[in-house]
Amino acid sequence: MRQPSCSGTVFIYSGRPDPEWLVAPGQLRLLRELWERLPPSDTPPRRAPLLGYRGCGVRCASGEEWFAYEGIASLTRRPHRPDHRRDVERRFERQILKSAPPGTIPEAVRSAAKL
Amino acid sequence: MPSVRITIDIFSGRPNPVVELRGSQARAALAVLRSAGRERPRARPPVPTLGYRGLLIERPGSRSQPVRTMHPALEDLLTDTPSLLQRLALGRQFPQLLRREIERFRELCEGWPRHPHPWPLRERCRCAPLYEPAWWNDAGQKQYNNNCYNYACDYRTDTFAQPGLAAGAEYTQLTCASVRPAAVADDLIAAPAAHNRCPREGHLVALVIAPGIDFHWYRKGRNGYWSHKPGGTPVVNVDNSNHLIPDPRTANRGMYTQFCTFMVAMHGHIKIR
Repeated sequence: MRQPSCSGTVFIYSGRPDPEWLVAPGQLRLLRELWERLPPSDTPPRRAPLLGYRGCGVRCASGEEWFAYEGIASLTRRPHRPDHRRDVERRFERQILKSAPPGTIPEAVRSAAKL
Repeated sequence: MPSVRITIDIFSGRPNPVVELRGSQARAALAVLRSAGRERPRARPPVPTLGYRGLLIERPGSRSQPVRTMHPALEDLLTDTPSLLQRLALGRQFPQLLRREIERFRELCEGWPRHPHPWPLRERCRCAPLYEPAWWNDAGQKQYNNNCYNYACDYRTDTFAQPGLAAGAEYTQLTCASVRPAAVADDLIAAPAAHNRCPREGHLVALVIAPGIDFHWYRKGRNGYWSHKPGGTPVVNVDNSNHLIPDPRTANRGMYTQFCTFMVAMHGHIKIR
């Protein structure tokens, strides 16, 4: 099956454009597998501070959008309501960042995200 | 046969649409309602807000008052059963609109309660731009393609403007020493001694740096308080601790730990890209 084209983003900057990258099909498969294993959550991701690391996400041309921030991950398939999951030990969030090709995310950003 | 009447509280000018459930659908709705009655009520924005505001449930013939709820199972029952909404004759787009509205209201509730700060109206900086967040926060072109530098300069480019780019002198490092001269090349005026005082002409902006990571700008408003636009997110007048900003030097700036300088943006003089 052909994988839809998906791009990853870290929401962190104010002045510069946030880092973006194309998610490779193999990485996307890993993300999907990980997502399926996450337990449901009653609560959405908590509100991030105004300045600084605000989470990371993957957006696909198919309309799927994942977002992860500090222990909660969400999948939105518009127009449906987001599905929230508990991202135990922030593994899903870490996997999104791992899907970026080397050099895309500066080390300082990873450290600001505490990941 | 049990029956339940659900009023979708969504319209402002028109009467709200009403859906009647009977039989198994009504029983399912009543079961949801009973379980919802045992839940601790969630904080929610005060009605009125414009758009979807929840569901009003009543049992025809019963003397009990209608119950207001925003239980997801009931909302799903409505949006996932096309025949129910089709009966309302509100157009083909209505189910989609309702789903979007439910989502919007849920997001609003998630951030509730909000404690708006009193926003002083006394004019302290005659030449400073108005604080008009709604103009920037359009959740579209203006909001996503203009950053802190655009907002601080009060200059919409829709390009996520970078200091120095318009003058061919873009910053090369994320340090004060590199970003400050880049902004000067865009014709902002360095004002290191401004000490948070309004200039006679133009308006005051402030540059801060997350060393090696990013830069950020604030602008001083007509009432003397500061506001900012973190990247593609909405314009706000509070800092990371949700406090008003009388002085960006003392605001909670998160990772933007380095306060670089005050500068003056003269309207019509600067050029940014």
